Amino acid sequence: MKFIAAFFAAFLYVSFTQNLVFTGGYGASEAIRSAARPKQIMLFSIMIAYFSTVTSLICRVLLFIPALKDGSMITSLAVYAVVLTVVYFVSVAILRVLLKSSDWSDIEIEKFFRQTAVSSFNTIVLAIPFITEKATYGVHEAIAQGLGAGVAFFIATWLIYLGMRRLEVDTETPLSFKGTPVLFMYIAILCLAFTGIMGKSLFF
Amino acid sequence: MNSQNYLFREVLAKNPVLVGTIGLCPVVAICTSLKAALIMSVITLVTLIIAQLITSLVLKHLQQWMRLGLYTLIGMIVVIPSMILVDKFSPETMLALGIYLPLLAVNPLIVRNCEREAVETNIGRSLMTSICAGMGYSAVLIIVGFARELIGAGTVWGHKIPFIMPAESFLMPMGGFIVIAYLASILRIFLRKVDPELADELVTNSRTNIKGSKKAKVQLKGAKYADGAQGVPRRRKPEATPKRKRRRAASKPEPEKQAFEVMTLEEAEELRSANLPPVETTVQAELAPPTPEDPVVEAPAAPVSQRTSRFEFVTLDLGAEAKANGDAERFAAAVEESKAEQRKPQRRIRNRRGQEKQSRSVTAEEYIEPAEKEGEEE
Repeated sequence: MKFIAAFFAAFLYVSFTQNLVFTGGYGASEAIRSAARPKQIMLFSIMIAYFSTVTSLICRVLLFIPALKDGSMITSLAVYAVVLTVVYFVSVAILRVLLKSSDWSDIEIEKFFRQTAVSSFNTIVLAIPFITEKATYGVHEAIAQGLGAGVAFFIATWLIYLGMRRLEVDTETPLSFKGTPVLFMYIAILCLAFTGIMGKSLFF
Repeated sequence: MNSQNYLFREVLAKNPVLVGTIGLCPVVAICTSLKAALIMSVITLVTLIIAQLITSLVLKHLQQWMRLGLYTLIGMIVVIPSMILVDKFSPETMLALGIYLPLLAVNPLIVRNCEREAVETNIGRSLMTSICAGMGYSAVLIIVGFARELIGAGTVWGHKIPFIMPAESFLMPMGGFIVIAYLASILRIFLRKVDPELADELVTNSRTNIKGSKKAKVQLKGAKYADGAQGVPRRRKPEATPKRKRRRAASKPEPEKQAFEVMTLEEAEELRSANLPPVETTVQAELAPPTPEDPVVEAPAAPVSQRTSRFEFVTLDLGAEAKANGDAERFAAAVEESKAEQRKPQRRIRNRRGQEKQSRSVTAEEYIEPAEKEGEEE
């Protein structure tokens, strides 16, 4: 029971209470760019959830090695970046084999792999192992963090998309604020709302 | 293009943060002081230059999916020595930067610039663009760092500034977004003064416009915005997908069967003289064609078919009383009232440039049914 409670607590912290995009700014630029392509939001979020979960899990398992556990942030960066790159290459290799037999065109496949790369090499994905290490989470919590990152990204992107849809047809906005500036303002309000849930950052 | 123009375009008009919305994480999360902003900007600039050089020399010969995987490793190679230096000379800054400093290894600015410039162009041009993009990014980082430190902590480079009440919320990501929103707006105003066409392009082709939506395409002559500027969103054209067409056809109500007779004025007069019991009768009256002296009447809003026909249909309830009295005046008044009713709704027709068109009546031959028109467009 304690195990399940810890799992859900970590998941809820990352996705709702401490939404990584709004309270930490992780993956903010990717969230904005994905929100402009509403059809890809779900796919992008699933990819982020996959990469962050797998990377977080592997990195957490590696933390059982004492040298790594007691190492500095520089060691952690080296290990996590290598793990993320390896996870990316292995995933792409498997996907290439799977997609070979599909009826996707070469252009579609290339586009898909470009998206895969953008979703894997992302601040929100690389931040998860660091947060797991800092918060001294267990393996199950590391998995919850990874899944929560995907959900957090989806919530953030969807909220940004909803705002975008209304802002782009709004003629009340001054022309100098039209487009990017007013969207930044809208995200600032969302950040304030999410930060207001806890009042302070739990992790950093 | 001279060097001044090139610098202006690359640093300001193509600013990665304010225009491209790239690399926001370090800006909104960690640029809470001038010192941190300076460190971040130097590391980003160095990483960008090295990554673009390596890409131009080596990585451009690899396949894209391989290159994309290697940018993180290049970022890591540059960020690790930077972390060692920062840790040695300013351990408190290293502590303040937390996990955001290692996250610079996956800065999307590196991937974007390498893919767009280093792979496509030669090494000289690639180097120039990396320096310009890095300068633009660093400028934003420094301004944001300065503003947030001043407003959020009431200090500049750690020195307390008197008479400033610190607003600590500016040290959170919310403050970062507000500062860059104002910076983007200031940049827009500046560009409008220097190069209005470029400023308009930024609005119409903003990265934050939803892809596929034509709502955001803004015409800059037309309706007024809140700040007095001109502009009106274009109306979105219906997408000609078969699914949408089917759905529209399904939702279209079936035309109601006419529950009344259509007759001419003469027939109506005959009916009136016949002294029949009261029934709902429709009188079809042919109107005289418009003369040049006639005032121009705005086209009614809907339905379209009513205004395009040369005939007007007038429905009257010729009650027994009216028939008995031969109330011709009442009939004529009802016809006039109906004509006035049809002229009432006004719709301003605008052309694509937002100028008002002078409306004119359309003959039945010219009139094309909306369904036909839609089919032609498709």
